[in-house]
Amino acid sequence: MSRKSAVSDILKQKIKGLKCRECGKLYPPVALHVCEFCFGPLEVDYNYDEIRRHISRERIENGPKSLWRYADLLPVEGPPTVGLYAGFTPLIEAKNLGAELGLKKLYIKNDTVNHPTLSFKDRVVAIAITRAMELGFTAVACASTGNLANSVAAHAAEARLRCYVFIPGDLEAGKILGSLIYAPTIVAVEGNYDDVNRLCSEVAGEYDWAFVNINIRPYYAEGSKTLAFETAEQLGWKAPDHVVVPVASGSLLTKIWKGFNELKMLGLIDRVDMRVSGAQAEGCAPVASAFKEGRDFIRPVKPKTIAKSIAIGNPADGYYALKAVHESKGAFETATDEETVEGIKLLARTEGIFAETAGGVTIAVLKKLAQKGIISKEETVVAYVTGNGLKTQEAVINAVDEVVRIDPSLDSF
Amino acid sequence: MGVRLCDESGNLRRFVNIYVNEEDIRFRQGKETILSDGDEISIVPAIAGG
Repeated sequence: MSRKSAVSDILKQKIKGLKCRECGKLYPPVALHVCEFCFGPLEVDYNYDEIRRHISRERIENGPKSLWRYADLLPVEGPPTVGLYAGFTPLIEAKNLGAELGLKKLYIKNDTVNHPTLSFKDRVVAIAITRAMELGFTAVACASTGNLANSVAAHAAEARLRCYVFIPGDLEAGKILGSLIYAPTIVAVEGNYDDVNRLCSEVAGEYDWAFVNINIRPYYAEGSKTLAFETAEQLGWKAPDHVVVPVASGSLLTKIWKGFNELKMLGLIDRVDMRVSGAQAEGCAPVASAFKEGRDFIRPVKPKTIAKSIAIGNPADGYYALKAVHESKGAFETATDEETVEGIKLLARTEGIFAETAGGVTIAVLKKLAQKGIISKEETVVAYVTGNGLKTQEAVINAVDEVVRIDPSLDSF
Repeated sequence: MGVRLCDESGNLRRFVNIYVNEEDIRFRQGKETILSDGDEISIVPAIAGG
């Protein structure tokens, strides 16, 4: 075993250990993700009294211009070892898009420009690989719909770790090349993401690798909280009235909700009067259908959508995402493939931001929620755009105009 | 084993996935799925996304 079993003093102060979200059983803060008693997911159990004694708006504001300014609320024991520049992406006041949708205070949290691989996954991977290295791993791995693969491969290159990436066989060319360039071992599995995930959970049991979304998941998933932290800080230490979040496994939405509530609990923001709404592709909407049909359980589906990055038919955190949407009195909406393409084009045309398909789904859903009056025009709204359109060019290549070809002469023009 | 996989009312716990020959039993007949000789069964906890 190459893993460190000892946990340093610093970590003990901030982190108590891992805790089962279902039955509350406690575990040490090692590479473990499932409760051995009830199969429930494990979560990091923080020492909030200790954190409260140290944290303040000023301390955060004086930190680095990256997600590491929130290190007090992230599950790592020492300073970051990789992904030093992840996060702190722009929160853009989207006046043009807002005007089209009839929303007066609309913001886009723009993770299409996250460093280094242009999606929100750079957040979770910065945490996951820093933690994996603290635990002594020398190889990292993941099951991915593309963005996570890009980010794990890039950070593994930076950290000089061996890297194994498992993806569904039908991913977009940009997503595959965007991993291959960092020279990891890439395994394309004949099947969908849920097949890849099932296979990986078995592979993870056989090899001593840090699977960022499996045995490192309790740490990895916490990185998504930084999208809430940054939004609150960028709005002047306030929670917005409504957020719209794309839903794949459901982890991102769950952690954004947790992030705002953590800030409130620690007194960094005054209140969280916020609704959280989820966006899914119509061809893969297991959580949205549970919401619409009033179910409290998720029925898995076989994905059929161009939004491959969020094509997860059996979402592990779907139940918690559903719960967060109910708790916050939010809603769920879906977008067809055509609406997704229109969503990508709308965001590009109005705000100059080229989002990938998941962003198209989010914008299309934002538009529907505004049209239906579920989001009202005076609300402060934040839409999370989590990945870059250059990676999913297939989706829009036939939906844009052709270039005007001419000879290099003024006559020709 | 049963206690770990199922709750007090005998329903499969929320975060347990069962596969017969690599197919989630929720795409078959759920708990009523009939097994044949040689079928391969996997019990897999829910895994986060990527």
